[in-house]
This record gives sequence, C-alpha cells and structure tokens, in this order.
Amino acid sequence: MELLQKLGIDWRLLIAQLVNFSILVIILYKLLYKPVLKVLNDRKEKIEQGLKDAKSLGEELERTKELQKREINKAKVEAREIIENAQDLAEKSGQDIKIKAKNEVEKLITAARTQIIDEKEKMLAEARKEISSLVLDISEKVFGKLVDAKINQKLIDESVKDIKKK
Amino acid sequence: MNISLAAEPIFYIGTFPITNTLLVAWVIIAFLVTVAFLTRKNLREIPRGLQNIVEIIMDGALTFMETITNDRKQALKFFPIVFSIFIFVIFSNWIEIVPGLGSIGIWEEHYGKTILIPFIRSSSADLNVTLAIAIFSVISIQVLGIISLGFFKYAGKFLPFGGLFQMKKGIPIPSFNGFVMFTAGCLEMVAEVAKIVSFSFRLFGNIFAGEVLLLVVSFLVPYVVPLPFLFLEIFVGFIQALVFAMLTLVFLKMAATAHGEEAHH
Repeated sequence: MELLQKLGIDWRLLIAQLVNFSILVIILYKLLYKPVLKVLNDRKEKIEQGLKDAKSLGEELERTKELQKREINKAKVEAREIIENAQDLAEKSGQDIKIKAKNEVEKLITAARTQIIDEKEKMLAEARKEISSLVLDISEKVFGKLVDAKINQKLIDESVKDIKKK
Repeated sequence: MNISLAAEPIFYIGTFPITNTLLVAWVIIAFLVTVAFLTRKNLREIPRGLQNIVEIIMDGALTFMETITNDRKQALKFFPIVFSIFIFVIFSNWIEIVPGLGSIGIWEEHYGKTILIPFIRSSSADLNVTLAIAIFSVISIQVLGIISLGFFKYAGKFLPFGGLFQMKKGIPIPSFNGFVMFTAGCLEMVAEVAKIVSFSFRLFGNIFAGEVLLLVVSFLVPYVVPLPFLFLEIFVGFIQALVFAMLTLVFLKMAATAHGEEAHH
C-alpha cells in the first residue's frame, strides 16, 4: 500500500480517471464514431454503386452502338437496293420514252412528208394550169389568128399533155 | 527543481485532490468532445474543413486496424475502444510538449520547503491515468472476448477443465496433456492481470521519463538544445500511443478468437 502511495496511486483519482475516460469513449462513440463511420460507409457504398452504374451504362452504350451500327448497315444495304431499283426503273422508262418519242417523230415526219408531197402535187397542178394558160396566152399573141380555133385547141391539148408527161 | 513521481494536487475539494493531471485530462476530454461535437454538427456527405481531417484520421486508423484483424466487421467492432485509447493517449502524451510544462504553477509550502506546483503535467505521467486506461483496456478485452465467444467458451480458455480427464472405456483417467493445458490456462489468467501492469507502467515510464528529460535539459540549457528532445518526445508520444492502442487491438483480436481457431493459423 505504501508503495502504491509512493507511486502516486490514489484509488479515488484512479476511479475518477476511469470514469472520465469511459465517459469520453461513450461520448465519442455516440457523437463521432457512429455518424462519421456511417457517412464514410454510405459514401463508399455510393461510390461503389456509382462505379457499377457507370460500368453498366458503358456496356449499355456499347450495345446501343453495336445496334446502331447494324441498323445503319442494314439501312445502307436497303438504300443501295432502292437506288438500284430506281436506276433500273429509270433506264426502262427512259427507253420507253425514247421509243415513244422516236415513234412520234417518225409519225410526224411521215405526216410532214405526205403533206409536202400533197402540197407539191397541188403546187404542180396549179403551176401546170398557170403555165398552160400562160402558154395559151403567149401562143395566141404569137400566132394570132394564124391558126384557127380548132387547131389551136388541139395544140393546147397536146402541149398540156406534153407538160403533163414531163 | 522538483521532480515528483506522483501528480501534484493543485487544490482540494473536501479531501479529494484535484491534481494537475486530472485538470489536463479534463482539458483533453473537453477538447475531444468539442471536436466531436463540431464535426457532428456540420456533418455532411461532401466533407468540408474539420470533417476532412477527422475523416482522414478515422479512415486511416480503421484501414490500419483492418490490416491487423483481417476482418472489417471486427475492426469496426474494436474501433471505438482502440481509437479512443489512441487519441486520448496521444494527446495526453503531447501535452508535455506544451511550453510552460513544469514552469508555470503555484508555489507551495511542502514539508517545510517551498516548491513549484506546475499546472501542466502530461496526464500520461500519472500512474492513475495510465492505470485507468489499462484497466479500461483489459476489461473491454474480457467483455468483448465473452461477447464473441460466449461466457463458457471464453472461461474455458483460462480454465480448460475439459481436457483434464480422458475417458477410457467409460472410466475417466487423468491426462498429462490436459494437466499441462490447465496449468497454461491458469498462467494465461495471470497474464491478463500482468497486461494491466505492463500497459500502465510502459506508458507512465516513457512519458514520465520524457518529462523529466525535458525539464532537466531546459533547466541546464534553456535555448535551442531542448529542441531535438522536443522532437524526440513528439515521436515517443506518438509511438507510445500507437503501442498502447495496437496492443489493445491485438489482445482484443486474441480474446475474440477461440483456442482451436488459433491453432489453425
């Protein structure tokens, strides 16, 4: 006992310090450890969740990209098909139009030709009439009354015939 | 210069001595509680200011404890005891660095001599404090041991009656092995008490010696020369707090582990 006293050990002080320290531990536990560790844990969980979400989102994105790529490729193939079809159709319809146009043109040309021929005929006929009358006039003037009407008529007819022949 | 092994009482309430170490312990407790209160009040998910520091220290301590227990749940269970011991001991150790140690106080008549009673004395330099923490530590070791193993299994560590007799054809025969185990168990019981002594005297010895050293050095050469000793004492204070806390942790871990499991490691 004397030894303990020499070392400064006093049971009242010892108990006081023990109580002090126990109270400190309880207060720190309630006030500091519990809430702070909870915050730390919550944050850790949140970060883990966030990382997991980010990872799954990345995978989702990758999958979407893949899908997009496939869709685009499909669309490309389809577009090419459509274009080819359209080209075929255009070629065909072009040819049709060409043929139609050609026919039309040919028709027009023939029509024009017949018209021209008719005109020519008409013109020729008219010219003949004119010329024959002119010739008649001139021959009348030139020959006068040298020839009688009968011969005259005969001559005229002959000359007209000649002209006709030509 | 007066060096006293015991903490000096500054005044008395009735017959109860209020020693300088008790005052310092109160100051430390008040400081820690204030820090805890401020942290609690401004606790938020995105830490700011004080919370950052508190979190870094606590998370660091917890991670370090995890490397020793190899079990996060167990580390969390032991955390309040081990961390409180560490934080209280390190602050009471570092009080000796505070200027005015052993020099600011009141003069008192003591056995016919006038001596200085300093206001500041590292509370670890008082056996009452170190003994109190050591008792707290050892009691929590026993309590947590009983909680994790159950009373009879835990008591079986110290009094392994089971192995004392071996049944042979229905007749119990004393077994030499069992006897040895029983003796070892009894010795372990003594070791539990020895823990209190080793805990308290290790800390007290180191910090008291440090205080005396600082006092003597600054008495001999007041300028510059005490500096390296101050640094040394900061280091010693940290190491002693760490040793106290880590030993408690290791003993807690051992108490929470059954005998059979231990053998497997």
